[in-house]
Amino acid sequence: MKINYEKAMEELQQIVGQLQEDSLSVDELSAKVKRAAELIALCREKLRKTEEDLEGLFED
Amino acid sequence: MGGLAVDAVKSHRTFDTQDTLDPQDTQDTQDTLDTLDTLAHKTHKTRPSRQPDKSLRAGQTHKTHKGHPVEKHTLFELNEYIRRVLALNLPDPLWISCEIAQIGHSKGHYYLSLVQKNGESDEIIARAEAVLWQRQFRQLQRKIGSSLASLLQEGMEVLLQASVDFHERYGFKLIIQDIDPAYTLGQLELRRRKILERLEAEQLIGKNRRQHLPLAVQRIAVITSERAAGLQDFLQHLQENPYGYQFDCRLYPAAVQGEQVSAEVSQQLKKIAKQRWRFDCVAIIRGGGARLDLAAFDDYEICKTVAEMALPVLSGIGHEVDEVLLDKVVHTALKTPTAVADFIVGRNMQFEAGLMQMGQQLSLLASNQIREQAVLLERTEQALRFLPLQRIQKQQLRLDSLANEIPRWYRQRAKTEHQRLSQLEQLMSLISPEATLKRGFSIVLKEGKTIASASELKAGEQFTARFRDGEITGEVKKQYTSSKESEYED
Repeated sequence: MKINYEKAMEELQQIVGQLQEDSLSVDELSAKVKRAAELIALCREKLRKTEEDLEGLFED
Repeated sequence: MGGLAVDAVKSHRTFDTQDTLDPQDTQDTQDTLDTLDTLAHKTHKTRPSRQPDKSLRAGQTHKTHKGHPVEKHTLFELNEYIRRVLALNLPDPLWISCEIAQIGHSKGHYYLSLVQKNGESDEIIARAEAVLWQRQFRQLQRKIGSSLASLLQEGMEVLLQASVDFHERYGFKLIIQDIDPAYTLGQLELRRRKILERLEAEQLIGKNRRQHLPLAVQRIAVITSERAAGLQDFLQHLQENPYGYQFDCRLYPAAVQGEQVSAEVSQQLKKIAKQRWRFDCVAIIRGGGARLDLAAFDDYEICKTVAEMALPVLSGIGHEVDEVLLDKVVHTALKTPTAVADFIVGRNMQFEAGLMQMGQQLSLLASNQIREQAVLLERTEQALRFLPLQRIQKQQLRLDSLANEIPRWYRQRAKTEHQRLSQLEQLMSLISPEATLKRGFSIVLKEGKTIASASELKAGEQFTARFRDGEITGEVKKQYTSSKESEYED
């Protein structure tokens, strides 16, 4: 799944917004939440990797 | 010292020998010799130990083509006479200010060509040859030190103590006894001030300062003598820097002492300028030296070339107190070659420290951002855990309330129906036969059926009349019908 952090975050916020506004139908609820969970995992992974990359970059 | 020199020349003039010996003099030879003769007599009186004018007295009488009897002398006699005159009249060494026009040395002796120039036109108005014998040179070296070599340079203004020597065969010569370095320093200082004024007027001071010196300096064009003591110090200092910086130094050899400095350094600067993209800066260095040794770096041409150099120039002309003019036109002036190396290493270190600080800042900012994002993700995740459940709960509540609503609605409906029914009941009770009976009416029945018309009963037929409180049974005796009814009947 090729999606960058920015786009993932955008989509997440959109889903949360829809949830807050109650504009999601119950029918699409589980699919959307599932998608959001995927995006969160993806963002987490990206953050972790970035942190790893940065670590020790300026030590020498 | 200058005063001393002038005095010496003045005393020289009182003898009038210069005028007399002037080759352009219009007096004829006889007159000249006569004057010399008188002069010799005069000096003889003051210095009786000498034996003057022997040769000239012994000169033969000779007739010129005009018939006048004249005394004839040989060249040797003349020169010997001149030698004596000079020796007698100028017995002591004199202080003479002059410029060294040329200098050469052979077998430890120095041969100088001295001149005096017209202050304004630079035209030579006096010239004399001079020699500094090896013995005297060594003596002076002990007295003056290393500055002596700097003094004995072409173009130097010097104050010399010299004895006047005249040799029959080799002619006139000044024998140098002493040199006063203070005089030259003074002259140099005067010249230095003039050059400084000129550099200021031409806005050459601070010009090189505007050249960009990179934050990290690594490629250095070094101008110095290959033998200069400072060169090794400089290179070693760079190489042994504690931070492990690498340097690419290229030597452009040039004299750092003497007449050639300006020309050679300027030439090398021009050479470097042509490939300036190869270098971060130029370093002009030399080891320590006396003030006079450094005079070459007060030269106008070298200062101008440096000021207009397309690369920043660093100077490390070893000196303690005074700065040379070169130091005023360079990008940065340091005291010694070592100081130049320290400056470069220090600058690089500052640059690296700055980089390290930036790196730390970057890493701090980056981890801050990561932390922020992590918090945001955390919050989003919580929202995602909570919001769908909330949504479902809301739906459940709606269902629950619907479930509650339905029986209530139903009950309400039932009640309404009941009320309607009872209203109907009431109405019914108002119009029922029983109610009519109660109001005093009676109902006539025939064989259990209600009779609503008199025509339904015929005379002789049995009927029952029902009352509020009971029934009676009777028989029809006579039947009457109204016309209306009969019409209706039809």
